[in-house]
Amino acid sequence: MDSSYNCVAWAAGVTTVPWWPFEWPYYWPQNVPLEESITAFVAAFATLRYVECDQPDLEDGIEKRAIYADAQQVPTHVARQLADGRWTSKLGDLKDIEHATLADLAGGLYGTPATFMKRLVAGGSDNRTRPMRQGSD
Amino acid sequence: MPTYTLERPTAALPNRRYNPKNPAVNQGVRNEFRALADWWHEATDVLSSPSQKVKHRAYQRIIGLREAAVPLILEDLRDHGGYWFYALERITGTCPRPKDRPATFATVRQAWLKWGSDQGFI
Repeated sequence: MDSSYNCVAWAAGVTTVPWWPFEWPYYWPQNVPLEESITAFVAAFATLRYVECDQPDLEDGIEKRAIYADAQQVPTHVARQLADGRWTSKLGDLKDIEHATLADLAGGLYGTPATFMKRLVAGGSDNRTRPMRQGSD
Repeated sequence: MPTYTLERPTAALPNRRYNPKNPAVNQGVRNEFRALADWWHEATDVLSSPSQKVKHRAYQRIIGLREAAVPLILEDLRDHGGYWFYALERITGTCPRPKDRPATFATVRQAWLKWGSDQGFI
């Protein structure tokens, strides 16, 4: 078990501190509402230059994230797209995995993919393992 | 030389005087804690949301064990990890913060374990 980071941090490229709109020591970007809402999660990833998009399909030069939410539209999970179109997710405190589709994690505790975000790939490299930014306290 | 500073969390249980020298730990409490902690881990280790973790019935019942749970929580934090900081802060009314180091989950965990050792719990 590794509580050093969670799914949101993993999707943000961070492995040193978990991200969530909650009290310390969870990290949440400054000036982003400290609330469990899709809007707040979108705003959090906007600080990393992500913008909302319509679909999760792989596109050249674009990296995507998928925000899952439950039936009440409360965010539950975030997945990171890999260069080959598959996805990677940190399962809470448990290990991070790769999964072929977003549906592989949908339907249970994580709810369903609710919102997608995208940005240009930095330097054209595979973002699978390289942390792009560290969280702060 | 302590490696943490103590702060009072803003949401500590009100009017609670915590006596670290008299935690009533007996086998019954230990068994109850273990069952609740196992239930909590099984249900929430897969979740990223700390609010879901602390709202879980098992976690709330562990907080309800009050001081008796503190050494048991610290043992579980030491042996298994997990987001126990919230429960410890609410029960003890204190919040050890890492000193001279970045506040990561790992350093906060170390601060709590050091505090627990200093208090004689573990």
